[in-house]
Amino acid sequence: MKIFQNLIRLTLAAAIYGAAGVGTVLAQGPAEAVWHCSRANTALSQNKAPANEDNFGLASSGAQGQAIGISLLDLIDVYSNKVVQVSGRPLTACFLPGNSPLSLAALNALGLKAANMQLQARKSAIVQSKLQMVTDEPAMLACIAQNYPAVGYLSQSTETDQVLSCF
Amino acid sequence: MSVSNFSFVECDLRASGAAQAATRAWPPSRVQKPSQRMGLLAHLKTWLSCGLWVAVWGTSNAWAQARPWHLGLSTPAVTAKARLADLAPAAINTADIAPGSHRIVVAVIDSGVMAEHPSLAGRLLPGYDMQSAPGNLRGDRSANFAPDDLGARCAERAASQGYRTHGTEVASLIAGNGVNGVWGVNPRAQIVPIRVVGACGMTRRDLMDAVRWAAGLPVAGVPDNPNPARVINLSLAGGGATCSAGLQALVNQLTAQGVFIVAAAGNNFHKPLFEPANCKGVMSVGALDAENRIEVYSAMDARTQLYAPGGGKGLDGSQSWAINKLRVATYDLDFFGRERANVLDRGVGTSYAAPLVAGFISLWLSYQPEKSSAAVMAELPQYLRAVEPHLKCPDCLLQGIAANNQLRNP
Repeated sequence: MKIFQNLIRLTLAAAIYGAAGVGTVLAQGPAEAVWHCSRANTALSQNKAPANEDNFGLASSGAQGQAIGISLLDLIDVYSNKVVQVSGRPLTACFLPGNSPLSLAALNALGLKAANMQLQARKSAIVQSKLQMVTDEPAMLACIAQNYPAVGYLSQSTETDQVLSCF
Repeated sequence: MSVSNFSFVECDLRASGAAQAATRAWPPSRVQKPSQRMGLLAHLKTWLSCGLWVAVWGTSNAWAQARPWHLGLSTPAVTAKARLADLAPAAINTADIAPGSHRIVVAVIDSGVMAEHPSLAGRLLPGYDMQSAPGNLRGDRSANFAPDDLGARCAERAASQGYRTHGTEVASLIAGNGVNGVWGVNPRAQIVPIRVVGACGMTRRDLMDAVRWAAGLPVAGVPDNPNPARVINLSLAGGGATCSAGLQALVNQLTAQGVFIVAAAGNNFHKPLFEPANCKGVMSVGALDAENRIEVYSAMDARTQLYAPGGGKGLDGSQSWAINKLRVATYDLDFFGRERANVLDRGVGTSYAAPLVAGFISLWLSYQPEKSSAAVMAELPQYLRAVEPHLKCPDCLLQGIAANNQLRNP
């Protein structure tokens, strides 16, 4: 009976992890972060934007056309708690807690330490910071969607009306 | 980190003028305003300061302050005088190689160049804005190669200021004149700025026309380029996962004419290359950190031809290069939000690795301008160094670029 209960628990846990998109990552070994950005509000610019195959951009940025235009340096700066202006608006950086493997992978790639970021994010009540800590991947997706312009990371490439992978 | 306000004694190649003298006086140093003119006395003063500078080289960190870390040194004798700790393992080793007597034209197809930057004074040739309507916020193609205005938006598409300064930064890595410490790989190269990217992005058609025009081919509705380029730098990425037939045909045509096309691999965090880096005949350039490791953001597959420093996260250690960002001529905003010319250590990306290779090729050609593409490719291995292998790409070519004395010997 106890074995049966444990089996149910494990299945449930696997389902929860899977729904969060974490299961795949655990199965594959070390986490890999996929950077995501706010989708550009292209309602007006769509008639100016070329089709994907004909669309190019600056190599130091990570997206061509569909996402907000930010560069690698912007990514490093915003997660270092520097203000990055994107067409006059401050860029928001969403991040998971420092003990998350995904967070470790993403922030290590930028040369940053998640623990320091948590500290900085806590200070944001006093100093206006654009670092926003979220608890899980659905919250990360929501953070990017609700804080235009914003950037964050997920375990898998995800595309919604407001968010898409970049870089 | 701003480096615009430091001062040190340097001798100036631009001011002294003669290429022969420049070779003897290399590395050039004194920072002067472009408007300054030198008389005989001033020349003497410059030579004396050069001599003094070389004499104290071994005991000071002047070299580290004076030269961007990504340039490095080629000559063992000179290297011994510099502090070894100041030499980045991934440096391309060109800082002490004076350009040859031939001026090489390099086209920078990018977001436009801000011609007023002091570190680019005397380095720019007439260029063109090849971005066509409706993506061009200024209306249509014109001779104005400046980037889109500060704060320009394509409808609601937001972008950071880096989009405006990108082309200026790339040009400075190729041909920076040394003002305020911005040294290009070939400070005597002449840049033809061609704008194709703006707030609305860019298109394949504009890219193709820009490449044609850069090389001196006719483009309908546009006056011919009076200064066809031998080297074309493309710090751009996009399009398809394989090179389109049209772009490949154009690359084939130009490389057969002796034009060198250098392209950034792209910054997609180890995913495969996009166009134009994936076209055959294009010198595709991935990014290294200062310690000779492939950067985590660099696009990566077996089609990457070369690696060069591209900057990235700061590295551990107190060496000058641990900052791991490339020094560029750029613009930023002052306290009041006004745009100002500046020099910053902020280059990060394969966009910044590619111009180091473009500059390197132009430096080589400045000694041997008649060299064909085939000859350069055949002789290139003598200027390559091994890059640290990467588990994700066992079949990648692991070749970083690094000059030696042979480069200046025709």
